[in-house]
Amino acid sequence: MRAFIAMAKKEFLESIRTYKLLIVATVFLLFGMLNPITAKIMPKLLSSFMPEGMAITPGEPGTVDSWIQFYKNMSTQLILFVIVFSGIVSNELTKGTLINMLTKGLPRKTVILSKFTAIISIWTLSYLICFVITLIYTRYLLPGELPNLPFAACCMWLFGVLEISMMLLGGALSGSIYGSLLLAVGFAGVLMLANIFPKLEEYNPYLLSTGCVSLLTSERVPSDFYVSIIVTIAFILLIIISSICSFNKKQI
Amino acid sequence: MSILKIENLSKKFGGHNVINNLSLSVPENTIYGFLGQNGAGKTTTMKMILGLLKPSSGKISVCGEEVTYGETKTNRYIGFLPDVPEFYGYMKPKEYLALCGEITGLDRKAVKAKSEELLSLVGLEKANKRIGGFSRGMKQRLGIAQALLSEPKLLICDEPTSALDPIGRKEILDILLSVKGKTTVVFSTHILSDVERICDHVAVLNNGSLVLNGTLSQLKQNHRLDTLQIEFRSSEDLQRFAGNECVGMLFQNAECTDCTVILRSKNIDEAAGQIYDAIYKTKIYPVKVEILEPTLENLFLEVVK
Repeated sequence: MRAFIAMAKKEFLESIRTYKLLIVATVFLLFGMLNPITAKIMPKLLSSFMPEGMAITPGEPGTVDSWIQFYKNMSTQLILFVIVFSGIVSNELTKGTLINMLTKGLPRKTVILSKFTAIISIWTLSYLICFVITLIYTRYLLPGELPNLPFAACCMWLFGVLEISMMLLGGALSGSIYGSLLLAVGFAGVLMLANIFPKLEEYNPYLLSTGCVSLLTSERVPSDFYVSIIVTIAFILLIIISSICSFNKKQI
Repeated sequence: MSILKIENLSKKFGGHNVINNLSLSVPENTIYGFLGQNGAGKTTTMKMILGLLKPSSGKISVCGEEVTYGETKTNRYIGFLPDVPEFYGYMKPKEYLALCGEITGLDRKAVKAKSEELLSLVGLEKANKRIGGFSRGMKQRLGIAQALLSEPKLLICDEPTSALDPIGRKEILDILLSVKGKTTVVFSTHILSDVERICDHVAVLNNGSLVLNGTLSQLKQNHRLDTLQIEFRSSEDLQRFAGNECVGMLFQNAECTDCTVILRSKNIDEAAGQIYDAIYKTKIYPVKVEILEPTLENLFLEVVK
């Protein structure tokens, strides 16, 4: 347990001193402010760019438009997050910094678990920054009440956790940054493809990232997501276990 | 008791045999020099001892416990210094040692005291900056400090001196020499003078198997050549001396170069006697008469041929 805490602390220190945390937090903060602002000024922007003679009358922006921006941008932010942290396992393997730790009797599973804990905490923190900022700005710029706001946010957050753990598995399997990225992106691609089949939609973790807005507009209710959430959690556990198993067998 | 025991160890990478049926045992409280050319399999063997690589066959035990691949409990007895130790560049030496202490489960206060002691032993007590800015020699020293932190019974160093300047090398060797008695040291190298300076036990690895193994003095004794070297003031002295009838027989298979002659004989004492008789008779006084000791270099070159 002490080794686990020490390694997790080391991960936080690393993300602070190598400015990764700063970069991610700043970007998430900026997006948090941008979401409501773009929603607010988008109609004006659109009409000012229209050629003369052509007229569209966009409706007044509402609270939900801000959150549409939030979920649209969050996919980009998630990709950025994965890129910034893609070296979390592989960098240590290629540089050989883990050799000193492992030869001191650090259990290999502790490496994976501490990295997972640290990176998910950073993800949660960054996500929370973006969510709270968007919430505050939306209250001010586009006030209104929406149903299922926290629940929808949790769904997207969970999808992020799934993608990040896939990235971790990629690092443990391949030992390279490209392996991490390939697996995370490839997995998202597979989920996207599986979404073609309407029968699978209910089970597909992808629903957690695409269905959030429909919760806010009351097209869907939280119970529509339960199966997908269970599937996602099962996936995450499976991914962590396979990461540990593959890392245990890795020649370093 | 032997602290490290390797039995019939083999390792294949693809179809290539890197380690071939290697067996050795390292006695306690020795400095064990592990010699071999580049690519002889020294690092591979060490990584297998640490459970970082999986042996194709064979058994390794440390302090009587068997090493298992992947997760190995035997690592708690071992301190390891990799050939190029890598650290978290954003940490300071004390922070790094504190992290190492947490991982080995040592008491926090003890780690603090121990790390100060070790940092002054390796001469880094004033280096209070991030490791990223360290020179190679400083990293090597910090590597020794981290390896010794848990007071291991066995210290394994992979070519600790190869990349260092002469002063840095001497300092590292002195540090290794200073821990002898508390810790058994296994260190691999291809620098023979380092071995002669500090090792009392030597093993030479060639093509994945041991070609030489024993204490340094024992090896030299066994491989002692009966060779005598005589150096004269001038080549005329040498010619005149060689013409003397007492030494005629000896000079039949001698190697002459300018003023020096190298003689070989089955009985070196008898040959030396004859030489001194001849010196007495001819009154030709050589500059130097020497019974040649085999050097480690000669031994090494002989066995890896």
